[in-house]
Amino acid sequence: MPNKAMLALAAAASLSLLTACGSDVTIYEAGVYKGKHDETATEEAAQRRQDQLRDRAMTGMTDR
Amino acid sequence: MKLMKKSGAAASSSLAPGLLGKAIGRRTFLQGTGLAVGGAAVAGLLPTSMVKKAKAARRIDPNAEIRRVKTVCGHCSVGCSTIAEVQNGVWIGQEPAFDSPINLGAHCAKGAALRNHGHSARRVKYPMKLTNGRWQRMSWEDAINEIGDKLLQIRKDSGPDAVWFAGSSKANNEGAYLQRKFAAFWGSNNCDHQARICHSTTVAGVANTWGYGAQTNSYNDINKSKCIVMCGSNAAEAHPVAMQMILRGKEQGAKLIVMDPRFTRTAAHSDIFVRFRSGTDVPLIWGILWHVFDNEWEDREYLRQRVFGMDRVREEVAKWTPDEVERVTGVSREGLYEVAKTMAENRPGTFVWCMGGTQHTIGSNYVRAYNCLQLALGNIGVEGGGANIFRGHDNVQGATDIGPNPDNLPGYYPISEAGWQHWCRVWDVDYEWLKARFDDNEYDDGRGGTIKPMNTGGITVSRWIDGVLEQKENIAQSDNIRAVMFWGHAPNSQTRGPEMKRAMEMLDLLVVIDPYPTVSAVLHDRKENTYLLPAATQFEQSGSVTASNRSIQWRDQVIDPLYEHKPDGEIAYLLASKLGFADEMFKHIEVRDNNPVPESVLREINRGAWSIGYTGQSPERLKEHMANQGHFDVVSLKAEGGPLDGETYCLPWPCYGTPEIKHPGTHVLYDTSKHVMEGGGNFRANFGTEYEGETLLAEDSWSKGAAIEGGYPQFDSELLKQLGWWDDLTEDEKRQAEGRSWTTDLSGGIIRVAMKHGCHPFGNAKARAYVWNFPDPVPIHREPLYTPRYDLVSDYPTYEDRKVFYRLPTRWKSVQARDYSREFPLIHTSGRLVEYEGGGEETRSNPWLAELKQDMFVEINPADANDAGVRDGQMVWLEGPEGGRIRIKALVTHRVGRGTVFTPFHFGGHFQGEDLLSKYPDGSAPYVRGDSTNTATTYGYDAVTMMQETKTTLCRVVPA
Amino acid sequence: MARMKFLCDAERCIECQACVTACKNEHEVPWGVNRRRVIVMNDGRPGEKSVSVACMHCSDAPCAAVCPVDCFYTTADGIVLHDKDLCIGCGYCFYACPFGAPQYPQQTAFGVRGKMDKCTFCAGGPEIAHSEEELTKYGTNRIAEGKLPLCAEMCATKALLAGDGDIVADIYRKRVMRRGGRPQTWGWQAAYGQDA
Ligand code: SF4
Ligand code: SF4
Ligand code: SF4
Repeated sequence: MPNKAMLALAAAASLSLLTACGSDVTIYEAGVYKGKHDETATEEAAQRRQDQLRDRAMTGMTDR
Repeated sequence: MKLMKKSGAAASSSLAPGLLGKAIGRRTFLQGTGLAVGGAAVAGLLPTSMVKKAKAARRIDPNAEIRRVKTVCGHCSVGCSTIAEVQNGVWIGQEPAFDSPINLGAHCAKGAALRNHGHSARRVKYPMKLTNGRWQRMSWEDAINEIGDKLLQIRKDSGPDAVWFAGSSKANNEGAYLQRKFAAFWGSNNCDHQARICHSTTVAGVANTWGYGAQTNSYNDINKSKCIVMCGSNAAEAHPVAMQMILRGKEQGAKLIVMDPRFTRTAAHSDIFVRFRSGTDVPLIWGILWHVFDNEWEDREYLRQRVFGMDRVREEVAKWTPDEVERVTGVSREGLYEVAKTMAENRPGTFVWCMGGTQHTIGSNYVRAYNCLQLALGNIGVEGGGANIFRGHDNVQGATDIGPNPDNLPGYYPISEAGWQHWCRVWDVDYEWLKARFDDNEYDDGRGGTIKPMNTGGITVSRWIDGVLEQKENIAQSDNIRAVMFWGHAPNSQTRGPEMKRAMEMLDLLVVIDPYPTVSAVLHDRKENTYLLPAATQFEQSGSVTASNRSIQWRDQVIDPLYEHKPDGEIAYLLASKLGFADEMFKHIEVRDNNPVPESVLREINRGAWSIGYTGQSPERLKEHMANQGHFDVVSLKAEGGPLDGETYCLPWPCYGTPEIKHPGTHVLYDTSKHVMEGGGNFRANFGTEYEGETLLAEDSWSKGAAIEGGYPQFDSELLKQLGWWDDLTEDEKRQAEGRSWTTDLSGGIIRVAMKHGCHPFGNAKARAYVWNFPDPVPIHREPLYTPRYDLVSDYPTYEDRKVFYRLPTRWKSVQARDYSREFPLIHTSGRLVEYEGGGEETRSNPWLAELKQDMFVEINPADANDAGVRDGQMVWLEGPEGGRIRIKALVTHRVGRGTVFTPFHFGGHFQGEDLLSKYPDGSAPYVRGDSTNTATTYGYDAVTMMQETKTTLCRVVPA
Repeated sequence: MARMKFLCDAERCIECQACVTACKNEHEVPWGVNRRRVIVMNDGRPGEKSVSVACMHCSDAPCAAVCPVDCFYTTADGIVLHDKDLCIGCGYCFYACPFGAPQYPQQTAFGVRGKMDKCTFCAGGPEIAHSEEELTKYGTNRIAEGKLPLCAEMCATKALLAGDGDIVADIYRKRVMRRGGRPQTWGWQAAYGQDA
């Protein structure tokens, strides 16, 4: 009995501990990039260079 | 019998993934441990300064201006443009030149690694000399003074011919021209360059057949071919960017036929591959021509109109029945029938050859056999056809045309009095003065008479060692060679390495002028009288450079010379000043701060080289072409619209007359379908008008729009008068043209008037299938001196020995007299690797290239390997019959057939197994060193040009 | 949106290594690290073929999936890059990659790039474009300048094509049509789950 109570108490304590941490710890998300932000990787950056890269391919990759 | 067809199915689908880490074949083999161990080892070798320098050479300053400079790759004759980005004087980036119609931005491994020239620390850096066997730094001033004093002393004791020097096919036209002029003003014909040992037999062979010693068409023109035959050419490694055009031609339906003793990377792309025994090209070609004649596939009308002497060839070809051809070459009747049929049915067809066809004791016979085959099929002088001779170094064509040749003057003017007189007029120097610079005595001319050295071909680069080693009384000049200057030439590209080492040690003076130390710095055990002078690379000077297709491109200077390097022109000027003839030599050449201005030098060339049309390419015109590269069509090389409308890219010579008359350059030589002012032409009348009663002039054939409808001789003042065209000349032109021919009229008037009437200044004649002035007027087969088929020697013996040939006794028969084939059972042939060039010092000093090929090796067939008890990757000794031996790695492969081994010729820095690292000046040894092929190669020279034999000799391979 | 891809035409590739040295030149990749390599099949025998291989910038990059520190990311136009500051050099990506693209240099005089290194499609990495950090860790950033990978731009025969997958496939298809034969877009199944 006291054992049970002890366990319940411990469980409650750990639960409250976890909840307490909830607000300032990020839960590990597998497979999500953790590195620095790359300005040239964004949608807008890619959009901006799209035409230029197409022209470049037409000049450089074709047999002319 | 050995003919095989490449199966259509590609193997790429069977590729297992994950191969990046485990490449198969030559790569893995050669890289071996390179990735880890080699990497660490080499990194250890890198001086820290190099690491810093490499980093400094990057775009780290975002605000400083970036200059974009267009230049031309220095590693082969394709002539790929590239764009160098330069910031604060440092070469920081390399961009593709998409506009160039020659390469469209493309490069090979070497071209894509050019930027390393801009910061390499492996260079010579400053003048040095050997003092008691150790390299010691010195000033330029001291170096020029010491070298000059020694040269003058030798001249005094032994005459001007005791000095021999190698100029360079890697110098710009201006540098190469000054090298020839330097030798002339020194008073000797003892100068030569790489062309001797790469395409001299081609130049002599084709010039004697139809006029000019050059590629008739272009890389680009191959787009129009229906059949592309490559014999002794491995373009995939030697001229990689040419493959762009070849594969485009193939994609448009051309058949690609590769004939080679080795299944090359070029052969890997062929429709038909013919493997034949090295050294048997004449029977091979006659074997093809036999089928052509047998099936009446020859172009009769073309032969009647434009070819002389094919009947005499026909008689020789008749002897080469399919059975005899198979006995000698190893190729079956069916094999060659298929080649002949494919060529006959797919016209126009082009024929490409390289050093596999030239570096032989009968190389000039091979070349003419190729010519005869093409003539019989009517393939010369047409778009898509031609003899597409791929030259080697970036400016070997230009150096051949106007550079340091021992047997002619710039523009192929003869070394007879007439030729010297012409150039003396151009140079504005007194002929008698120049004549007095030469040794005036007469020596054996080898034909029963005597001749002055000024009028006889000098000693060639293939034989300079014999000029040192031979008994003095056997040499047809005043003394042995006592001083040698290697001015842009690797010694390990010449045969007979151990004898060369001895010759170097006997010299009183050895001077090496080069960006890198080269094997000349380390091969010998000299202690004194040996100098290294740092010469600038092509990227540290400007000037013009002639690609294989005769286009003359302009290189802008990318960076200032590194360290204490100096351009070729400046070195020539400093030496000439010291030796006392600078005022005469540079009389009409502008010199700024000791530097002859390249534009000014080119203008002097323009004023003199009428004979080959190096006259219309003024520096201004060339620069305008470079600036408008994008206007030129990739296939025709013609500008469409714009300021250069109708001109051919970089005015391929001949570009006749003065720049002002605007000849457009000649894309395809001898093409009668075009007007001469549009680059049209016909075969040259260079050998008289008739031979033994038969006419040599063209019959019923002329170039479009010619006023003379039929053959005619070369133009001179007399002919103009006969034709009633004399008064087309201006008064000034008349004064200069009187009594002159088109090649010696300095006004260019005769040329102008001939072309005005649609006529070709060099006449209109037939090509000669029969060249009566050669030892073998009809090309015949002769077994190599070191042949594996000694049983054939009695049927096909070599030449008799000669007492004097290019001043030296030369042996053929006495070498062939002994049978070596039992002790040395394997044919030893050599060739190129894509990563390296020539002797390789420059490219083996480039880490981006060196990493890819870290070991000298020999390709050996599995059967021969097993016979010799050799395993893949094992070290072996390759031993030649003259005693030279090299310690290298075995690469067991089916690429070579049974009985043949192959070695690449770019290695050096080891000698018979010993690493010469300690002999290099500190920090300047190339990253990769290895034993040189030519340590194991043997004696043997062409009977017309003194070309060396490096493609067929014998050897044995034993485990090391 | 454009989707960057590589395609190597084995009928045109001549094993000349220009792509390899162009890469070394552009990014000053140290000795021993090979972002790009040429693979030869049937070396020296009839049927000999070669292709030039580097990171293919997979659609669903297996390297990213196994990376324990999640240092991989993909740009909006499909280029797979990674952050060397996070990389721990564990080597998992090498085993996952169907092309063996990731490389691990030994610590040498060039130690700055001690972490995993691979082809960036000439697009640098997660540092300010053209900054010294980007240059030393990842090499140049041609993509940001509107240029394509130098290896493809300098390919001797235009065998190696780089750029928007649609354009590249189009150039290649026209070529195959002209010369006949089956299209062989080596590596495309593994990298992009499709053929050209
Ligand atoms: S070596 Fe020849 S093929 Fe290679 S890049 Fe230079 S010029 Fe072009
Ligand atoms: S090729 Fe390899 S490294 Fe490149 S994205 Fe695919 S799995 Fe990753
Ligand atoms: S540059 Fe082009 S042709 Fe040369 S190896 Fe690379 S992909 Fe092949």
